[in-house]
Amino acid sequence: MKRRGIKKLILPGSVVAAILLIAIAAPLLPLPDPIRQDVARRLAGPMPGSWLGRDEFGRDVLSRLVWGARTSLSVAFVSALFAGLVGITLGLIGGWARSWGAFLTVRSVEIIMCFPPVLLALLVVTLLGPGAGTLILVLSVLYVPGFARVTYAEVLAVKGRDYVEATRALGATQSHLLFRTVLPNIAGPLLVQFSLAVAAAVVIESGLSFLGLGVVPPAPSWGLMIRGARSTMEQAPLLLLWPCAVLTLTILAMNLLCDAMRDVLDPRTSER
Amino acid sequence: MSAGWLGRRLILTLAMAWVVATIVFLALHMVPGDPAELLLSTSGAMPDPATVQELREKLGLDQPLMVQYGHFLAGLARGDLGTSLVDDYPVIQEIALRLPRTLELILAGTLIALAVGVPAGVYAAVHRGGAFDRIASWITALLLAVPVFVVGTLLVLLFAQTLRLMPAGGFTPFAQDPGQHLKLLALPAVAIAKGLAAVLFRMTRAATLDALAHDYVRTARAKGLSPRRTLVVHVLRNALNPVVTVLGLQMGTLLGGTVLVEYVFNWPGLSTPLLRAVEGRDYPMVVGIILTISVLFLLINLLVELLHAAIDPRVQHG
Amino acid sequence: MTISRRSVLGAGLAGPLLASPFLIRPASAQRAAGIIRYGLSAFPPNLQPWVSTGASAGTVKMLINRSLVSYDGKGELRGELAESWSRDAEGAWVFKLRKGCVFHNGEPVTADDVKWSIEQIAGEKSTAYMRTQFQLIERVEIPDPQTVRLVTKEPLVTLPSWFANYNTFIISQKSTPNEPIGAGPFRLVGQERGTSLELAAFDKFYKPGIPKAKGIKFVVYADENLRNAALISGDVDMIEYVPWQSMATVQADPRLKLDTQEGPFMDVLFNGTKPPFNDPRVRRAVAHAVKREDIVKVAFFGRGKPLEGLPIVEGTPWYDKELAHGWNYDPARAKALLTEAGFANGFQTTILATAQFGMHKDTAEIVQQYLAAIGIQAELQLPDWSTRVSRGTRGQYDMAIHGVSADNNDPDGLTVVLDSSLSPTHGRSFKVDAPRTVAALAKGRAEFDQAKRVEIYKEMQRAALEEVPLVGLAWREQGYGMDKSVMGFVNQPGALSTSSGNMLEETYFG
Repeated sequence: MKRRGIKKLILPGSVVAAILLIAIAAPLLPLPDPIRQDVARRLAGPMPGSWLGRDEFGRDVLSRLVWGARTSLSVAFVSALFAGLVGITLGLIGGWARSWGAFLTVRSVEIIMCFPPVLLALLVVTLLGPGAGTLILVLSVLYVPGFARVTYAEVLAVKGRDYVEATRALGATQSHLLFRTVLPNIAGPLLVQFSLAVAAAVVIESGLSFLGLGVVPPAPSWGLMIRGARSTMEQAPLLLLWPCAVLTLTILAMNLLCDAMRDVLDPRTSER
Repeated sequence: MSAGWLGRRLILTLAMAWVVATIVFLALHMVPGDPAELLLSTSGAMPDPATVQELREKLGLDQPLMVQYGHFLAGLARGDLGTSLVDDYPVIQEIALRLPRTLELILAGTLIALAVGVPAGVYAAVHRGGAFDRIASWITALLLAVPVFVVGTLLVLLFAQTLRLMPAGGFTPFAQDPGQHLKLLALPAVAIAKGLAAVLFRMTRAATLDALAHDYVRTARAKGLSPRRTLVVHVLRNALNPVVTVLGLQMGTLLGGTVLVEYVFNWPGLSTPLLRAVEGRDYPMVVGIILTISVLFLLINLLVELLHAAIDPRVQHG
Repeated sequence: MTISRRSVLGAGLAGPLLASPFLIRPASAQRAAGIIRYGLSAFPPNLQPWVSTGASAGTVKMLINRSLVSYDGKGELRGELAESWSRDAEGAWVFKLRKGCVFHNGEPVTADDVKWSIEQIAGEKSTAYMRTQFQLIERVEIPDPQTVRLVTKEPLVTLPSWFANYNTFIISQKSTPNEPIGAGPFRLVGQERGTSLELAAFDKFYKPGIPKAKGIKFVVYADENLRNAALISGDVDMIEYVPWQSMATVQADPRLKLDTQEGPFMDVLFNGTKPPFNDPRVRRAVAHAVKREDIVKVAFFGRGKPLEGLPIVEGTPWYDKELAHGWNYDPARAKALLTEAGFANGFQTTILATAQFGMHKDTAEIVQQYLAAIGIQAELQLPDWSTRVSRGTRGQYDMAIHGVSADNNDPDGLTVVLDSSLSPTHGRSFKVDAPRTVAALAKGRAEFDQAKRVEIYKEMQRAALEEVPLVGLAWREQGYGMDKSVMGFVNQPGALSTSSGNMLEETYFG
């Protein structure tokens, strides 16, 4: 581990931590009710008590941003986690096992990728009804291939390496090899993949909410806020700015954090 | 790379496409919604059940699922994807009409993304940590974060409504008016390119960094090769591999994923009839389009694999 | 019956027209050629003359086909293929056909074509929109070549207006399923599938000087923001369905003008088969609980009006000021009604709407809030439109939000939304008992005396206010935006707004 690398972790790390903290602490913060409507003050600009103004229903924007963070982030993290668990497992099996295991996992991943994301979302949402749960399922399925492919490629690359052979020669079991030797060495690219998955999940959630396939209103989510703001673009352009800005900041911070983690953890970039 | 291997891969591709089509066929029939009822209910009309039943029979929807599936397979064997439930238009003709436009959009977007993303990625890697690298990282994150439909709407607002530089979306066939056609292609292609350029930048940067760190680079430098020649001959060749993979993956995914761009810019590609067909439960159209997209996607994957193999041996020797 | 490209390209007359005006891009050239560019909101699923495929398709169909009558700019019936119509001594409707009308193939419109068209619509295997109504026509007689006599099973006041609907055209007997031959002022001369349709004027149309435009090019813009952008940037001369958030901008733009009418409205539908909504008092409580101004403000950006009663258009003889506010905003009364029905502490339920249409979703969110204020905790269910339609028809809901328009401005046009004794469909409440309302509607349909009709429909409103087959929420404005130089187009009043398409025959550049 390098000192310079750790320093790079601090800034994005703290931003991400701050965002997560605010999202988790939302119920404890002195914020107005995010779903209480006040149509008389709809599209109001910043005013005391509502520092970022009101949305098209007169609901407080700041409050919805914070509560929306909870929804959008938890959906994104949980989906990325599920996708990671399933995808990495598939990738490990695919890269490690002999013929049939490898064949089935690689091909089933490819089949998943054949489905256009929006169509998959449409079908699943139509079958199971819209909502955060369905959204997590859809996003997880969409990101399994990403994790699987990266894992598969990395496992193949690592399989023949010296330390693996050495450990095997020392008599280690299959699972020991997999989890203690191989997995830690491919952690770098997997973390990068995780960050990409979370970032993309947040963006896709907004796309699905835009089409009406995402979180069910009146629950706040950044995607829904963007959808609503888009139709009032002429009357209140700032309304579109806030959720986009927060979205961008969050993803930026996450990407930088994961890049920094990669720099620190990935053995290949240790020399320069 | 024998003909046998290729042949087996092709058959595998077709088999997988068939699995996809079957999944979609079954899923569509499980989901609530009756195409006959939906068609007759357009714009708030309220048809009576007898009329709906008449239409169901006319469209063959009242037959058992297995029979309908059988018809579908039989048609597939003939190369016939059936006709739309909405207006009896042959699905194949619809696809033949729409697919080239989506492909054109994806291609244009990819070219723009390649032209911007790859050189930027290489430069950023070579001058790692410099001002360009840092600024580019920020811009990339920005591009990845802002949703494509927001970018699209803003582009239309800026260029069409405010500046009146571009038409507000739509389509003119190339044969009719090439200039107008290209003008209409520009904005949606840029919208598609924005995300792709960001991904390509990151991938190229990472891959170039990887390649730069390898032993053979130091060997080449030690041998006296100039930095530029090292870059081009060795680094780029190795960096190309993962970039090609990512590109192939992205383009394949784009095939079915241009929905939002096509919607916002009114570009009449393949995503639009797909979405409308799912909304209207137009089974033959949905299954036909998905089947086509799957086959194309799998073929692109195959192509990427072939390219891998083609690039790799040369690098070993270099 | 479908339009195929083969048939279109084969039409000889289309040749020279195809070559010239539509290929020239500059707007000025198209305008000089007298071609109106119209931004359509959806590509017509098909152009079958009798099957309902939506209002956008209807707009195009109205121009290439004609029926016996149509609506003029004021919403009054006027003769088209029929010159005049009346009831004879036995109660049958007699239509006198206009001389000199020809189909697009040059052949004259005869009484036989009229008879054939009517019989096709009413046929056993027909999928026509007005099939059920036309089956009330017992037989069609042809006393002489210029007269058609319709004998009906029961007295029907509104029969002539059936022929003004955009799904009941007279086409030539020589039509084939792929090529319907109409008698409208325009001919279909080209289409770019999914993108645009091109119409050219029919020179042998029976009204002199009509159509005033040389042709119309329909360009499809499904996204409302894009459609609006096209109007503002001058890509098209007029558009339908101006988005509500942009209406003010269009009005303020010196180059453009806006023509709006209030025709469609939002309402709440109920499932009358199970508690609590089988009790009319609970339904009435919902009616008094919602502050409708908020719906107008949020869902329609102020472009609409609260609807606190039955959707009877103000200014018509059946409108009554007091009855129009029968369901006024009165949360105290709502709570009292709930208590009376045994729900003093409120209850939990669901609201079915769809996420696909912003106005449905927005309306549902507001209704949800106001119901919560009187103790009804309603959870929103927002599936896609297809699922919503499916569930609506099968009665798989408690409450549902819907946006609908009556068939026409006659109060009998409301039957289709009020009468839930008719077979269930997604646009009506599901099996809600409203016997007095239904009886009044039936009476009004058969009563020919105008004064008596007014009384009957006022009685119908009183009954409906108590029986609550639906709850009116808000009128919404339907707007056409156009360049100031587009003359002669009128947005037809009330429920006819979406069938204003036939005004395009009188539209021209001034």
